[in-house]
Amino acid sequence: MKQFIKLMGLVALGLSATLSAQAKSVDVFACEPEWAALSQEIGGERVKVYTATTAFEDPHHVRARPSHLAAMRRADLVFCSGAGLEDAWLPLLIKKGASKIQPGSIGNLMASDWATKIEVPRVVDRSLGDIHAAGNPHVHLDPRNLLPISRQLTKRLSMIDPKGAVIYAERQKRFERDWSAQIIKWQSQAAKLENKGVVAHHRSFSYLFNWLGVNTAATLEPKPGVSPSGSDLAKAAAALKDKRVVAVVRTPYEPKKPAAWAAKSSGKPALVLPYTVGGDPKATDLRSLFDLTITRLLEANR
Amino acid sequence: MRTNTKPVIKSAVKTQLTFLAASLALMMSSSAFADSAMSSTANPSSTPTDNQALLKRIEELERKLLLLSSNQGGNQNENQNADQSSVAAQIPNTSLAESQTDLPVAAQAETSERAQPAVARGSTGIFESGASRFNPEIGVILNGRFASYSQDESEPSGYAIGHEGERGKEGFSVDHTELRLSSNIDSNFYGNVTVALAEHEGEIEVELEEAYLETLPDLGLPSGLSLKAGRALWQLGYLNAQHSHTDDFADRPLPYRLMLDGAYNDDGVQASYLLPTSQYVEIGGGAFAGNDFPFSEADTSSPAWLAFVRTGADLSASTSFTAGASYLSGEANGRESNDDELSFTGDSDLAVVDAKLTFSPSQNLRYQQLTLQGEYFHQVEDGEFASETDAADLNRKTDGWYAQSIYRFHPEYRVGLRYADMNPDGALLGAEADDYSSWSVMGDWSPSEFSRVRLQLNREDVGQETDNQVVLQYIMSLGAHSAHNY
Repeated sequence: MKQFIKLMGLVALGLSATLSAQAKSVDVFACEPEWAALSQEIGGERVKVYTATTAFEDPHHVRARPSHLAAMRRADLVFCSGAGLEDAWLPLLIKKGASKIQPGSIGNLMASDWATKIEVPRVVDRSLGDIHAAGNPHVHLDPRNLLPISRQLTKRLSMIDPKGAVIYAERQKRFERDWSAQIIKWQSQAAKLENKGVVAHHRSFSYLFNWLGVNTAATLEPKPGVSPSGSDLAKAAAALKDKRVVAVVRTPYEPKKPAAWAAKSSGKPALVLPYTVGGDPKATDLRSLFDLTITRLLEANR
Repeated sequence: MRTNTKPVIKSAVKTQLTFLAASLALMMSSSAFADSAMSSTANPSSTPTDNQALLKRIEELERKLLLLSSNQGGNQNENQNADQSSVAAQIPNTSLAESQTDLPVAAQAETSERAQPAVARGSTGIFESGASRFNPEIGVILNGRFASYSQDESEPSGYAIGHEGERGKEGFSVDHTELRLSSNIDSNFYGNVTVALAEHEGEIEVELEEAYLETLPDLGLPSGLSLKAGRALWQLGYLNAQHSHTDDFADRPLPYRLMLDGAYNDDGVQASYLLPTSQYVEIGGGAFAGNDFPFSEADTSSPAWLAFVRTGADLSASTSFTAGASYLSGEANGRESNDDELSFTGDSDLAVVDAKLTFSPSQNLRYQQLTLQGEYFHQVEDGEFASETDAADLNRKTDGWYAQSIYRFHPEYRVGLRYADMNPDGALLGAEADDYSSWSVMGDWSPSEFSRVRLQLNREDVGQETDNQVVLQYIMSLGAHSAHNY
């Protein structure tokens, strides 16, 4: 009985919490930091963003946590990569969420649905490793993808919160202008990288390299999601001998040792690229994410 | 994965006319840059498969080029044009002004239609993720083991043990083979069937483990409220709601085996409500037929019932916990146990508290994670226990608990330690109850999330006897694979 009274207390607390939150902002559940950053960019003060993971968590292998459930319960908009990246944990959460965030609803925005996906496999079979039938899901690393995605985000935010439509549109316009200029700047900065090569731990950066015209000469993983063995690393080390290959790259959430081992014999650097916002203390927003990434690659290319 | 077609395409776009020759040349010359799939299968000498692969690529390139030219400026990714001054022109052509004129029209069809130009060409639908799958998801669990025990028999006295609570078969055996079908039924309901094939005394039996429907948010129940009806693994303690093949050990901990015959999956309904609080709190309850262990053939007028509360939160960026309390009450009418040698008629009540702490120091649980988990059970059975020769009215209280820790130190490897202990209350029909405890150590290897091989050592102390057990087990998951529980 005591427990019951406590419960009722909690219910009352919950109700009062919802009532006091009447001056409502749009609650965004962002699966990854890059989408949180973009939401903030377009939504400004009208959105309250919850980021489900950090740059140090492998988004493929997150497990649903109780805190995720509580955030999903309140969400007006779920903003994730999609294309299967969050299959291990997101469906479970979405099922517990409101009607307005179910797949196919206004409040369910999967970024990769609005970008041109690369590396769409022709054959889908589990023996090929952890492949994504819909294509590579790490779409945010081609900055050009962020433009159509930001437009779609603006639409969704405006539908959820029509009063803010003008503000969202203005912010999106500004973002589009600035971002387009940035893209040109980055492209000219990185022109030297074209036709160079890298060895990557996993195909996490395919969009980035595709954009910059950098070849992924090899991956440390023999198949996506499969940990590299010694012979896999030896193969990668052989690919590193090519003089066009400038570095071994990995995300902050991928392990240090395999990349370091492969890099050691070649004398080429093992780079940690920030991958997403927060992946490096200096990568504090989307701009600095790309600034830093390109700087790191250029340094390695010297 | 045909990633390396991209640089090829780029050059093809640049040269426009000679794309065929260029791409061929590129692929031939830069072998270091050929993707891994190619380099691993291709021989230096050109084989028929080689040619076929090339032809396929050419075909694909042709198709892409066609799409590119028909969709000029509509796609930016491969079109990394030399003309950098017009980045904006490379961007899909939904002009912002146009798209915002009728923004407040919050119709779903409207978004989809308007958004279409921005959708990547070659994509199959508007909402690719998780949409347009009309067939149910199908999954099969293969589960086999080899077990060896130091004691010929394990018959702890003083417990009412059901079939699933007994020690597993010795030697080679195929454990539960599960077939699972699930799907959204329509916008209102989700359905799931899990059938297990298991061998009992030489016969293959089909067990209906789960067959339930669950309401979807679109049904229009108050936000956060959901109903589940049918037969399911109900929300009792931590492990009961999950299938045993996702357990961290080859066998369920003692309290589950001895008090619930493995798991409670009666027929009935369960409601749960997720509170709109900033911390996760879920409350719920259910009413059931009272046919599954620890109940049996309960009076239809007094069904079994369940109440639970669960909570959980992040304690830091690397630590989270979940905890719960549940209470299950019902009655048994001639419940058979101990190979049908013992029957029970009376009330059976069970209270469970559980907690689990998850710690991943680098935040990346794929590479390093430590979990601590424990559950405490308190059972009261009040009624008549009867064997062929004896019968008595008893009020028996039994306590049981387990605690376990699992450490993942590599994406593919984990080790775990578990202790479980049962404290029964007094004699049962003349037989003094045995203290029953067990230590378990396990190590498992999961090359992917779909396969696992496990070695487990148990030391079970039953009364004065010690039973040393070795279990080698595999668990393989074919097809659809549901998300892990939180």
